[in-house]
Amino acid sequence: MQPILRAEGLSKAFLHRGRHPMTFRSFVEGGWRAAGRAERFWALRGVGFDVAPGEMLGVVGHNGSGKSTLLRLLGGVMQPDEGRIEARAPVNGLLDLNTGMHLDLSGRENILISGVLAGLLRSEVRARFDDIVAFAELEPFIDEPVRTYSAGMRLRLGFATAVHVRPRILLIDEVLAVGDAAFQRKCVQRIGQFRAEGCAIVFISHDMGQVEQICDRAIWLDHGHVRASGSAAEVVSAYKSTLMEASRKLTRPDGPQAVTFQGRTLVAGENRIGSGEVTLEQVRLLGPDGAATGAITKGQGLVVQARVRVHRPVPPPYFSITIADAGGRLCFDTNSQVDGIALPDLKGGETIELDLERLDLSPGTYSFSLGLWQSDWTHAYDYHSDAYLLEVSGAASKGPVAPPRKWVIHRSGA
Amino acid sequence: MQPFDRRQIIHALDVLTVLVSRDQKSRYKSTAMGVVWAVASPILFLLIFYFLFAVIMPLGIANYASHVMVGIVVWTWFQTSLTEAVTCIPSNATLVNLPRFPVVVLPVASVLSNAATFLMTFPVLLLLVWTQAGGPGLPYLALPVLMLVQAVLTLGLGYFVAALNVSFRDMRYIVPILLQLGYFLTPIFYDLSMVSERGRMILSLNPLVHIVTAYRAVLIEGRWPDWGAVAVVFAYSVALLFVTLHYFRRSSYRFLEEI
Repeated sequence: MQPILRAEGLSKAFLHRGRHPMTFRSFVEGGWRAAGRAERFWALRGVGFDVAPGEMLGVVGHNGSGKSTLLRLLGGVMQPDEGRIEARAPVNGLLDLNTGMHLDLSGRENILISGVLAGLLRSEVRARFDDIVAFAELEPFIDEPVRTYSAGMRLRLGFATAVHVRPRILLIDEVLAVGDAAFQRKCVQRIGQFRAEGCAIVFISHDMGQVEQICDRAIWLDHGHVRASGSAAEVVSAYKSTLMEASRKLTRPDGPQAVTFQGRTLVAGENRIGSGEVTLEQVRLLGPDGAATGAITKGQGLVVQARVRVHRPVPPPYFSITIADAGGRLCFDTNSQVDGIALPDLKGGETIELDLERLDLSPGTYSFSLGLWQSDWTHAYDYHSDAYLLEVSGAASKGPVAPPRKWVIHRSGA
Repeated sequence: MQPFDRRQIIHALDVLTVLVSRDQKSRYKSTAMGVVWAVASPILFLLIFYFLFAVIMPLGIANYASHVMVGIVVWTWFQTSLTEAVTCIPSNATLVNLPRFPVVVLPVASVLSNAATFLMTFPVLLLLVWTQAGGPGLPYLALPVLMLVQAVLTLGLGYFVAALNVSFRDMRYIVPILLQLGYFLTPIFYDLSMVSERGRMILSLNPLVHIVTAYRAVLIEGRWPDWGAVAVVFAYSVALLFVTLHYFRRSSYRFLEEI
C-alpha cells in the first residue's frame, strides 16, 4: 500500500548556547552580534521511514535519542534542516492529554477547549459532545469544575476528547503508560479501531512490551540515527539485548556473591548483572500460605518479594519481573512502569512485593528473572537472570497457560 | 496542504475564540472581584491624576476627569495587550507543541482578551463623559473604526515583540520600560495643546497620540475625528502588521529550538 506518511533523510540541528538563552543585553554587550559560541549538535541525522494507512510504527530509544524531536518534526511544529516529510493527511497528536485544560472551568467547557486544540472545529466538538462524555464515563460530573476531578478523571476527559478527532495520521507519545489498567485497555482498543479505519500511527514509547505487542514495525533511534529498523519484535529484541549488554559492561566482576533462598549462587557477570547502585536482596517466592516456596499447584497464587538495598542514591528505578518456561520461552513479563506504579525515593530497606493472585501456568518448571532498572531503561542496577525456580504441579496441559475452565453446551432453540 | 485552506482558517478562528473565552472565563470566574478589579484600576488612576492636576496644580483642561479617563482606558488596552503579547509563546509552550496549532493566533488572543476588558470599562467611561460633557451623538459611529485601527496597530507591535522575545529572552523586561516611556509620550494626563510646537512635532510621530486624540474628539467634543490622521495611522499599522506577521511566523518555529 502507498505510504500515507513518509520521512526522508530527516535531520535537525540545535544550537546550544550554553546554559543561558540569548538576551538583548548580551547581544548589545557582544557588539550587536549573536554570541558566536553557539554549538551545533544534531538531534536527528538522516532518519527515514514510511507508514502505510492502518500501520503502526513504534519508535524506541533512550531519553535524548531524538524521539521528541522526531515527534515535533512530524507534528509540523518544527522544521527539519535537511530531508522532508510527506504527509498525505493532516497529522494529529495524542501527546499531553491535559494541554489547555483550565481547572476552574467545567468538564463541558474543557471538552470544547481540548477538542478545538486537538484540531476539531467547534461545531464538530459539539456534534460529538455526547459521545465524548460517554466515552470518558463522566456524565454526572460534566458540569463540575475540573479542579474537583481526580487525576484519573482528568486523564479520561483528555483522552476521550483526543480520540474523537478521527485522525488519519496519529502521533502518540507515552500516553498509554498512564492511567489504570482498565483505562489502558480502553485506549489500546480505541487505537486498534483507528487502525482498522486506516489510520497510520507513530507510537513513541519506553515500554518495549507494548511496542512489541501493538506495533507492526519499529525503528530504534540512537543519538539521532536509526540504529535498527524492521519488525517490532526484531527491533525490540535488538534493543533489549544491548540493554543487557550495557548492564553487563557496567557489572563489577568482583561484585559480592550471594546465595538465593533456594540455595543457588548468584555470580556477578553470569546470572547477576548491573551497575550495583541499588541491589535486590533476599528475593523470595511466597506460596499461598505465606511461606517461601519453590512449588505451587496450578491456579494458586504467588507473591514475589524482594528487599532493596541502596549503596548510592539513584532516581526512582523500575522494577521488572519476567517468567520463562524451561525452554526459555517468555511466559510473562511486567514492570512497575507498565503497571503504572511509581517506586518511591528508595532509602534502602524497602520491601517490594508483587502479588500474583492466580498463576494459571501449565504444569512445569519456570524460572523468574527480577531486575531494578535505571529510570530511562539504559541499563540495570541489578538484574537476577533466571535465578529463581518455580515448580507448578497439576494435571498436564499443552501451551504455557492453563486457565481455569468448564465446558457448557447450549442447544439451539432450547 | 495549501497555506490557505478554508478549514484551517475556520479552525484558527475557533482556536482564537476558545482561547479568548477561556481567558475571560477564568479571569472572572476564579476571582469574584475580577470585573470589579477591571473597572477599579482605571478609576484609581483617574483619582490620582484628578487629585494632582485638577486640585493640587490645576492644568486648566476642560472636562479633566473625562479627558484623563479616555486616555487611561485607551492606553490600558494598548499596554496590557503588548505586555501579554511579549510572552505569549513561552507562556503557551505546551500549545505551541501541538501538531497544527496555529501559533499566529496567540498575539491576536492577547489583543482580543484585553479588548474585552476595555469594553467592560467602557460603560464607566461613558457614564463619566455623559455627566461631564454631554450625551452621545452621530460621531459615536466612528468608535468601532477607532477600535479597529488601535487593534491593528497593537497587533502589529504585538507580533514584533513576541517574535523578538524568541531571540532575546529579556524583552519581557525591556518592553514594560518602553511602555512606561510611551505613557509619558502620549497625552494621557496632559493635553497636546500644552506642548510646544517642536514637542508636538515629536509627539505626533507616536501613533497613539492620534488615536487618543480621535477618541477624545468623538467622546468629549462630540465631533468626528480627524480622518486624515486616522487614515495615516491605519495605513502605517497595516504595513507594520504585514512585516511583523512575516517575522513572527519565521521566529515562532525557532522557539522550540532555542533551549
